[in-house]
Amino acid sequence: MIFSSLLPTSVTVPLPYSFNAKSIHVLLEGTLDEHLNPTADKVVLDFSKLNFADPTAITVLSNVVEYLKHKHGVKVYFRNYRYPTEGNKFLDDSGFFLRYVGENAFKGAKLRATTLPLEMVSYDRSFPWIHNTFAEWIALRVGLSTESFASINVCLQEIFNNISDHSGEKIGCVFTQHYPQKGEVMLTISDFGVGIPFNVRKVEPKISDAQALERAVVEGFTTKSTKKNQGAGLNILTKYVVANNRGKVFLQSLKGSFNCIHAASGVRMSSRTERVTYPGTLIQITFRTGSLDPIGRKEEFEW
Amino acid sequence: MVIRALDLVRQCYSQDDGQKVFDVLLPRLQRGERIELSFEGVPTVPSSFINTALIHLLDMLPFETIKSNLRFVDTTRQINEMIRSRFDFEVNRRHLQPVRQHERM
Repeated sequence: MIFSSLLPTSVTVPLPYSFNAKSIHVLLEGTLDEHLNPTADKVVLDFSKLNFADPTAITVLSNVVEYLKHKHGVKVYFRNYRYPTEGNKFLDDSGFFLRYVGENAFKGAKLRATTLPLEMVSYDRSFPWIHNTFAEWIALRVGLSTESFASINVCLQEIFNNISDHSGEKIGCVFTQHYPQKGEVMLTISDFGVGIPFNVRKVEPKISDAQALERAVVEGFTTKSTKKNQGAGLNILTKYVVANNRGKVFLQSLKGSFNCIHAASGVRMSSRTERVTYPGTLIQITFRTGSLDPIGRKEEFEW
Repeated sequence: MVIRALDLVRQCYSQDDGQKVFDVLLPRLQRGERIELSFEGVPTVPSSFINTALIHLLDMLPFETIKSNLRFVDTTRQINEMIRSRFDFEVNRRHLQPVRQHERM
């Protein structure tokens, strides 16, 4: 309560002109300090300059709003969200304002066919969300069977199992966008749990957040958060999405970020220390719909 | 005997799901029974399920016993790859006989 009384009553945070993974820090710096405490009792998010937002922006925005409201009881207000910018229209079409304000910002707002809208998916609901909602939507979009997306579906299972087993939370905030011209799908999931580095430091106490993310994707590395955990989940993302599909994986958790891409020389991984701390874990996967490995097909087992 | 995974669990997904399958497999394998585990109706399996249902058997039984008495049927390439890669990695890690040693010779 003492800390709470020392907080400024209100802070206004202008959202960036172009909001994507590279500009997350603008939102985080304005709303949270480096210990992930809110910067004020009341946070006003100003949407007047938001000209572009990608799936990661929507997921992060939602995750931060949920974190402020539900972890810290902060009152969050939206200002100028009816300014007719492309960014605000995209958020509106994606159901963002409907969720948080209770109504659409613009007349005629409508879910775009290329968007699977923002959703808070609890672990209990994650299996049907993956296999029915997500897989059926993308299969219909691309004109393939749901089995064609087995490699992506299993990655989503790994992500939700990680949230449930390690984050201390049971809900992931998910948003998906199909880019038909590029033949790509970008999917972002975030939780506001304890963060991957927090768990890695239980077994390697001196490791930085960025190094912790590198360790977490190595097959067999386990924090033994649960008794039978063997440490394979995040490694499977890099294998299925990057090595097999030549897509991309981006992680941000606390102050670390991790990039995994496919280059001419093969799978390239890099990590860095970010200037601001992310509340929980953000996972962005981008996969190519034209080169899906048909691993959902029937096959006889041999040892 | 054939054991259908979906007769034991609603889905092959979590560690809890894996534990239920493990609890059925272990006593039978310890008695020397031969088992075919059927994945009929299972679209994909993540590592958490395989680790708990199958890899944990390595703590109780020699890999050779598992390999000779446990078969998997009604599988997909994803399920097969997950089972093989997890066993391969864990058997090597535990300094036991590699899964596909004969293929490397």
